[in-house]
Amino acid sequence: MQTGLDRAIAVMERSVVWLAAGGALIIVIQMVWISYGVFTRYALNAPDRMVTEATALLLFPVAFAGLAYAMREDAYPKVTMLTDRMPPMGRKLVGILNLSIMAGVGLFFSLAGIRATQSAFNSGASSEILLWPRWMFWAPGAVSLIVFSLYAVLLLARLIRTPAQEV
Amino acid sequence: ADTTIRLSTYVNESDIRYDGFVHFAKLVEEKTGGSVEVQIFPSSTLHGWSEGVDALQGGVSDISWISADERLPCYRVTSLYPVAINLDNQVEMDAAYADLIRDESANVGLVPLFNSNYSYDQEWWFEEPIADLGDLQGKQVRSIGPLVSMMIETWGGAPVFVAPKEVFQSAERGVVDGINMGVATYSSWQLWTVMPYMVNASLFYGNIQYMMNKSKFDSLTPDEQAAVTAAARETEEWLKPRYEDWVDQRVGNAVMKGGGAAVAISEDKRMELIDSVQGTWNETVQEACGADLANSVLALFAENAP
Amino acid sequence: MEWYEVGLGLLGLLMLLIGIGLPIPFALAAASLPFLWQIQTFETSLVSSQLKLWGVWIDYILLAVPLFVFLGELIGKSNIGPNLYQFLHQGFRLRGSAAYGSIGACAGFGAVCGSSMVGSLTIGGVALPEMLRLGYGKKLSSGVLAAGGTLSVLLPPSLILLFYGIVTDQSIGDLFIAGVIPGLILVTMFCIVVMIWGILRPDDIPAQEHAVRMGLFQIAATVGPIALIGLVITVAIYAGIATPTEAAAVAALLTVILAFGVGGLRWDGFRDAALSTMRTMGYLGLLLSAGTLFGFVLTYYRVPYEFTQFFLAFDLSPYVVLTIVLLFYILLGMFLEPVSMTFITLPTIFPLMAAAGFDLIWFGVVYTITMEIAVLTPPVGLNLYVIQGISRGQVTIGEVITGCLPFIAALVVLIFVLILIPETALWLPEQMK
Ligand code: NA
Ligand code: NA
Repeated sequence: MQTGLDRAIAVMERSVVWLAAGGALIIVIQMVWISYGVFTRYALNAPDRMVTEATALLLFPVAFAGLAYAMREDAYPKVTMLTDRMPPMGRKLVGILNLSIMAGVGLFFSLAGIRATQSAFNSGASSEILLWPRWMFWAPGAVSLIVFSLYAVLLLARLIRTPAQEV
Repeated sequence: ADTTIRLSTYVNESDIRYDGFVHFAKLVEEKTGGSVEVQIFPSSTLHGWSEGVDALQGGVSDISWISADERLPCYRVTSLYPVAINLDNQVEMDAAYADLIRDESANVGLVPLFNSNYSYDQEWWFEEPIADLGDLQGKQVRSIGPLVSMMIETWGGAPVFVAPKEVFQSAERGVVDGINMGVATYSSWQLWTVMPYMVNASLFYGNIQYMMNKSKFDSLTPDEQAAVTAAARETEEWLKPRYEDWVDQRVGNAVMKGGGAAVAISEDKRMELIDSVQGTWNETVQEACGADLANSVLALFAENAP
Repeated sequence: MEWYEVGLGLLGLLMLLIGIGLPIPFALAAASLPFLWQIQTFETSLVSSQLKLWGVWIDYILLAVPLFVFLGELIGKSNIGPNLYQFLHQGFRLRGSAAYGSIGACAGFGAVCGSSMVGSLTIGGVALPEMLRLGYGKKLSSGVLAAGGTLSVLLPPSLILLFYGIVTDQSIGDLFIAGVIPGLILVTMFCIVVMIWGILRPDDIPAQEHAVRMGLFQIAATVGPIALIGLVITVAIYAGIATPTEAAAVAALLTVILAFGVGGLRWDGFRDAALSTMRTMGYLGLLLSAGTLFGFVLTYYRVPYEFTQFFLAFDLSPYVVLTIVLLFYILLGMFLEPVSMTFITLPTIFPLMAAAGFDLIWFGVVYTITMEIAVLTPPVGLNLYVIQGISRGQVTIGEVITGCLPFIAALVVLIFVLILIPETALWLPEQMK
């Protein structure tokens, strides 16, 4: 039977995949837009005035949209030669320590992201020429970081409840 | 030292303005008997171009350059302003300008400290020789902000954003036909082969101020405050002739290396170009500064007309 | 705290965290933060982090990263990558053709892909089972494929050269072009290694290979796209038609069209390629951010500045400095993967190389070769594990490692070639000007 924790993790993983899909969509948009910019420059002799600044700004949300997804896919580079040799209980404890640090780092960057969104909103800071508001790019970045942190906390809770032999 | 002041700048170590900061740090050390140490962080290592206010308010740096920022509305529209300026009294004029925006700066917790006047070198560069800067014929020109964008549009061109690191390649690949930038930057990016035609128009008063975090400034003793302020002023005087020589040398090098030309425009043309945009920009200035402050700033510019 | 206490403390804490299996992006952040809090209040450290996050990612040049990753994934998920190997191996009848074909396919794939791991995965996934089935020695098969994958980072496009250019502020286009000739020399040297191997251990290469020839259309549908995409990237950058980012976008779009058109790509494959790209971006996103924060903390304590001053005070000759730096990278490369290493060490090392009078484009190529060695050396060698993983238990990790040794020797020889004849890297970029 599924526990409440398992259900919460399942829901979280769905949003993690959707976030990554959103990031992927942005990459496709950037690819098409930049190619179109090159086309108009040479074929129509009319460079696209927006493309460079706009696509560079769009990179910011992409940078964090896949963070939680990479954790779900176990894609982070890490060194496990020492931990592989530990007894089960040791592995579990180190696992708990590592996930706690990851959640802590995630929360710290989330807080930085939230503050940055707020202060960019209040100061009205914008991009150089298009004058697109900065907070609009900070906000999705902050959301990705928050989703990652919550996901890490849930995984931590599950790990704590998992018997050492099964880690 | 009892106090460490972190000074953040976008200039790199080969820039004469870096020597200016080294000079400043030495003066501060001498004048305070070593109780205040200035550490210089060149090449934007502490924060990016538009983040001076954030870095100062957040305590990441103690002295930073301030770009056009919405939180300093009057500074934003007057630190780069279309006007003909006589640079003989530059240091005094810059000091008077700093006083005018002192209240606005204090509102966001900053103190104007060091003037970095670039009226002398903010210029225009093109891929092909250009007959009339006032008739850009649809050319794509790199802009650095709202005023320059407005000028380019008024003269029939199209302002384009190009990230600093991409300027060279964009110029080379014809993404832009022209650029507006300082000679020093132009030169350090070796743009002379791709944008060899300079129009030496002198259309701006330009002053990128270095401001200090106000509570950090207030935490200094009165003697230390006086020492830091005096060191800044003396450095401005020390730097002015050196900076101008350095820029002239660079323009010379640029023209020689690129096989291009630096063209000066006639005084009439200069005034015509300025007049074509000043009126519109003044509306922005009135709105941003309020009538009193706007009039004081404009009066200061008028007093220093050639 | 003194700069050396901070430098050693940061590095020590980082190694400890990496050692207990904490993913490297998090280890970088977790090592930096305590030192940041030593000199900044918590509130200020939040502002520092904001400035660094924004500063890193609002960068048009970095935009090339997801685009090049996407391009490589598309080729890997379509038939183009696997077929390339089949063609090179079956198209030529000579002893050892499966091994030479592997090198050729890795080089061809390297001309369109920027990551050595994707290179080993894509070509290795097809070539390894095939070579083992044909009776090639396990060490030779796994060694040639693990090493072949590294051609992806020396031949443009290359993520390592891209990151190097960003950290050291050198022209990405020049760096890419500088990698071409050394990359081709390396291809030749890898072939020579296989040849010598065949002479010393004739049993490792079967006398005859029975393989079906490909149809003409299939050949065209395989070699055509790779050649076209590689050509678009190289010519666009070389001829000054497009920036590396633009070349990446146009080449990626072209890859989408070709992969769907002639590469047998279906919607599922496209979706997988897009999500795989986000998986890579997921850790690169935090890795670059945390790496920059790490560099910021070092800078705030003036560690790179003081370290350079300290090092220069010994007044060592440039080649002694170079030797120390290269040994440092080969040693560190045993334990770290290249992208992390780039962001952890390069901000401190490159000013030293510049001060010693080395050309930074040239050093970029030399640096990249040490990074190729890094992915082939145990205990942490990504390509070793990729190839062992593909073999599904047929090859042990020890066999992969032994198999790589001659190819590592070839990489070391290439470094010597570059030191003796710097023009190997610098001639082509010079011609661009
Ligand atoms: Na490549
Ligand atoms: Na290694």
